[in-house]
Amino acid sequence: MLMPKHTKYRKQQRGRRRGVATRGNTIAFGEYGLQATEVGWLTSRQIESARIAMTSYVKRGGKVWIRVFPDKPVTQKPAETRMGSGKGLPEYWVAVIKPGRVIFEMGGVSPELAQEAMRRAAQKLPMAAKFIMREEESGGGSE
Amino acid sequence: MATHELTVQSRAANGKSAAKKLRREGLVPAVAYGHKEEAVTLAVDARQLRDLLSHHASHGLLTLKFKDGASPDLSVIIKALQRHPVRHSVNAVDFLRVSLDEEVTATVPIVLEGEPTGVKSDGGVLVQALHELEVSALPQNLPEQITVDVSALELNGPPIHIKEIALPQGVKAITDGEEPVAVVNPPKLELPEETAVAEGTEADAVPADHGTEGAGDNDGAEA
Repeated sequence: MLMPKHTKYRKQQRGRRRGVATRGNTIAFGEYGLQATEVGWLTSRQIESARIAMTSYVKRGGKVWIRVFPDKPVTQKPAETRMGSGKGLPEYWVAVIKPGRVIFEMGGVSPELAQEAMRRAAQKLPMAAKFIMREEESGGGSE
Repeated sequence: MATHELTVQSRAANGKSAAKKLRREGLVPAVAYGHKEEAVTLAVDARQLRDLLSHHASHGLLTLKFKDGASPDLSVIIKALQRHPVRHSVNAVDFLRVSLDEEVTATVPIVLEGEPTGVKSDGGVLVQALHELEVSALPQNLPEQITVDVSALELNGPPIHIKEIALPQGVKAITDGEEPVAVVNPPKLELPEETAVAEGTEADAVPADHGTEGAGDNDGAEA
């Protein structure tokens, strides 16, 4: 499962979850994407589970990109422990997902296959997500 | 190539609140600049713009016609589009004024055509490495898209490079000619689910607690 190799600090504060994704909100590598429409924490287990659901449906062919990385440690106190005595121990890793964030991308398969694979992956996620296709309306030019 | 038309109107009010008010009225704030002339602030009908973009007209020459007819028509190309990250609706448009006898550079989408032999007979995976091409051309010659025939691509064979693409008359590629556009790679077989889960169990342990730097790049690639 995905997790950082090294971190500068063991524990983090929870932070706030306001706003929309200002980065990572467009398809960059593949032709199709799964875009979050809600906010949430995505654990490394959920990412792995969604990836397996997607790749096992596609079977052969296709290429999958994971666009998020769980780099935030979440701590938990042991069960049946009295309050106090400091913050709990790091238990798992999450990626902070905001609306608009592209979580997975896929390429090299038909749109129908990609959509069904992404639907299966979306069922493993703790937030609502939608299937998107590469936009051709980017435009751009200079003198 | 056909020139598309767009009806615009001038707008006087600038700023965030004025732009929000425009969007509530079904308009999109826009600006036209370039060609050593003063920038003009405009408003475009959102529905008309959406129709135009859905017909792949975002990469070619546009003629802006003023609603009141007060100002002369403007020849422009779309320089930038700002979209809402979730709704994908257009929040703002930048138009670049162009002259019909001066070359401009623009990015044009690459569309792959045909089924490669490496995919059809050998079960390979077609990977499009480049989705947009930067080209230089007269505004009226700018193509809406560049079609690349990939039916001859073979499994593990050489990729199609930019220099091998047949561009329309009067269009030059700015992007490096050695860059690959499409290639057929061998498929990577997915491990059985039990194996994949078993691999991950070691990471259930307590996260790493010391070291130097954080997570690094968050664009991991998997097959």
